[in-house]
Amino acid sequence: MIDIKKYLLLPGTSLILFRITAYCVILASPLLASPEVQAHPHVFIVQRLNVVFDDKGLAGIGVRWKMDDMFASMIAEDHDLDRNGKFEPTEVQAVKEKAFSFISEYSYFTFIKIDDTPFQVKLIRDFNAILENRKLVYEFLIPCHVTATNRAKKVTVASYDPSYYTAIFFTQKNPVSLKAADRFEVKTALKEDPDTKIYFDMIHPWTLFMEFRKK
Amino acid sequence: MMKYLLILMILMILSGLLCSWTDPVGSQNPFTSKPETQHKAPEPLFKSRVFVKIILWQHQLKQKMSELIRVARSEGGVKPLMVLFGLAFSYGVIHAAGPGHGKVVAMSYVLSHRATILGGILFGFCFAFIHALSGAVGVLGLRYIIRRSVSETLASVTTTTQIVSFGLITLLGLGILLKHGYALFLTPPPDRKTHPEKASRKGVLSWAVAVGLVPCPAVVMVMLFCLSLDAMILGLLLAACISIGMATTISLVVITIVMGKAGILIAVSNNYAIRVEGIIGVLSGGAVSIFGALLLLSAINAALY
Repeated sequence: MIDIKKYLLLPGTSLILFRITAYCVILASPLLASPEVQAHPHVFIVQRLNVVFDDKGLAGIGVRWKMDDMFASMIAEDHDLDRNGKFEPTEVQAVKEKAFSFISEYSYFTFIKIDDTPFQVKLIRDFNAILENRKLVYEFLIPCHVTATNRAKKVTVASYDPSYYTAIFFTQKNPVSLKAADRFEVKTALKEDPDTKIYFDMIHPWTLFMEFRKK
Repeated sequence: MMKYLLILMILMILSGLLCSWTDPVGSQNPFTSKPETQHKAPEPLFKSRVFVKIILWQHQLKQKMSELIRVARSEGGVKPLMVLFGLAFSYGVIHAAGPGHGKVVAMSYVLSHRATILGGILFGFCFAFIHALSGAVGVLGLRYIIRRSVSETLASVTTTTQIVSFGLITLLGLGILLKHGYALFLTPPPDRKTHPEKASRKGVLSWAVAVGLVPCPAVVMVMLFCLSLDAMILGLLLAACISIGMATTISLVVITIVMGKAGILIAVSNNYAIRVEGIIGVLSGGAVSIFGALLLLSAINAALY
């Protein structure tokens, strides 16, 4: 015979409690056995976009990512080799190669549509990694040329990591700025894109919706 | 009724165990690891935006911790330290509620052993301590002894410890399977009236080592952050607080399973209970060995890249 009191080393405990717990365990067993409940993300980024224009129209999207402190400390530990709290050009190059370029496989977490047609982000320019007061910022420019016409052109810029290992939010203060946009009529709005779903349809990524045309 | 619910529970746990191998080698940071070694986001069982909120709380907690570590380092004082320790404990509690952290294997340990509540608590604390210690020792060793890149080397250290850990889990699972299979099918049932089987805490440490060997990523991040501020002792204290927080969550899970199993065994007749216990042991031993072997194969596969 199984002696439950010896079994649990808790003499005097009501057996009803065990029965209730048994039912709870049965009901919760899928959850307890579930491998994942709140797996991602692990890296957090606060983002600011700078929409750059030239004579013809849109020239590209400047991206500024402020990384979370823990990620920053990991990158600084590995790449600030002289331990002066700043990245020199050679260190920036190492950061680019070993802690940035891999995400080119994921369009640098930037998904652009021009008039609802996807524009594949394959390359970036002017990468810089700035380490200051132990805060880490990545900056880069995504070349994306769209000639302005009299008809409004629609461009959307969604920022997300498809695997949701990284979560990207827009900064609350000045999340989007325009550069050399005087010749054009530009409207911008930031909102969650209801047509894009990631992380098993639970997340709608924050997206820049933009329209521009010649003045 | 209870008999059918029991079968249902075992099937659910087994399916959970077998599904969990889809996330075998832990998360690989997309910034610092090659795309072929990365993995897709594992699917949560329940799709709810509530989980997203919990994730954001975890982020906020992490950010708050890093702010307070800076304050504690620059200004000193007891108050920020106390708040920081409380936050680290809470972070450990929430972090262990996430994926991994040995909950599935802990459940198998309880199902296959005559575990006690105290044994469950002991398991939770041993596991959390080893898991955190592995992370802290890994970071300190890489920084001060081997002097190699933490983010790159940590991935290979994690893969190596995973191979050892999953190998041990497979062996423990096979051991349980053989033990319970032998008792169930090849030996006559013991006279429980004259030889009552006592509760046991046997094997707690070996199970805790097998599961906890892989460095805890939360402890690794906190240690790295503290080391960047030349605050190694603070990092170790925070690692200890995170470890106690994780132990609390794991212990609660294990206690629930211990009580649940006891409740099921109470509900069935005594003779039947012995057989049910044996069947549970065989099934969980089999599941753990399959689970361990699949994880082991995936970890070896990842190591070959």
